Amino acid sequence: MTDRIENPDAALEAEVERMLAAMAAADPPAAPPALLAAIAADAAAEARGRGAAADGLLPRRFWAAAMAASVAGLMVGGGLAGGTAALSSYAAPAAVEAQADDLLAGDLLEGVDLAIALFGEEG
Amino acid sequence: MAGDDDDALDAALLARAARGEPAAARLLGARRAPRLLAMATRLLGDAAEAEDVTQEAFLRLWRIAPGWNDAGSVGGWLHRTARNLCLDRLRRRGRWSAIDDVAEPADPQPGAVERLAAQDRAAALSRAMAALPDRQRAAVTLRHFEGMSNPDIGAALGVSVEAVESLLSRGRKALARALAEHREDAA
Repeated sequence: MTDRIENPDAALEAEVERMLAAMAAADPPAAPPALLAAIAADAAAEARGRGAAADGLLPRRFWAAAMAASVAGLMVGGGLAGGTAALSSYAAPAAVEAQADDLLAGDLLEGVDLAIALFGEEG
Repeated sequence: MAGDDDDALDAALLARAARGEPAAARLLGARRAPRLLAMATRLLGDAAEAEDVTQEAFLRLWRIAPGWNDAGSVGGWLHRTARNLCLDRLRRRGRWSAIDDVAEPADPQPGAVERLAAQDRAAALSRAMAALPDRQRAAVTLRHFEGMSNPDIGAALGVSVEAVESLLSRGRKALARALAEHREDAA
């Protein structure tokens, strides 16, 4: 007599194990198109969000740096052209950017102080 | 190796998706979502929740995509993340502690016979798996589909190895019972 006949429960459980193994090895069915579309939309939104943040960051910091340079130029009597020249001659953009947020957050006097700090009284 | 090629392709697609190329994101989704969805469906026993988990796993991937290092497998990362999200959801269902105290049902639930009279036995088995109590289904899925060891399953579910063995035994018996009923219905 075989185990299958003597113990049908064990035979059935063995069959369940075989079927589970077959299911695990089989390729899964395709995901619903709506789910794939949602996944792709999420990726696009994340990329857009990062792009928007990056796009917004540079002009804002550049504007602040330009303002600081202009103020510095005015302080030394060179006007806007002097400020632009001061900015273009300033060789540490990272330092400008680091100060730019503070400059934006402060008032004009603080801006002037920062401009002096950035470029010095001599421009 | 095919696996290495797959990993390299996934990593390339992820890098392009991070740069905002929608076609790359769509392709990576099409490559990896089906297996995640199948695993989540088996673990959770709920298709809608499984879709949520799959989407969430990808969303987390998109968020870390710009800083992704090439050392890891994108597919493996997605799989682990989705599996952990499933386990979190199962824990939040709040039925973990009670399930061990539930005796094996003497009879199938109402309606189970009709469900198990589906067209083929694999479909019947899938349905039976979805009807298992959360812990039994999780143990069977982690053991038979994820290939995890009993100690690892115990750690994932927060139970002892003995409890895992009990869950697996009860789960397999329940599936066998469902299969037997399907066979009788089909006869």
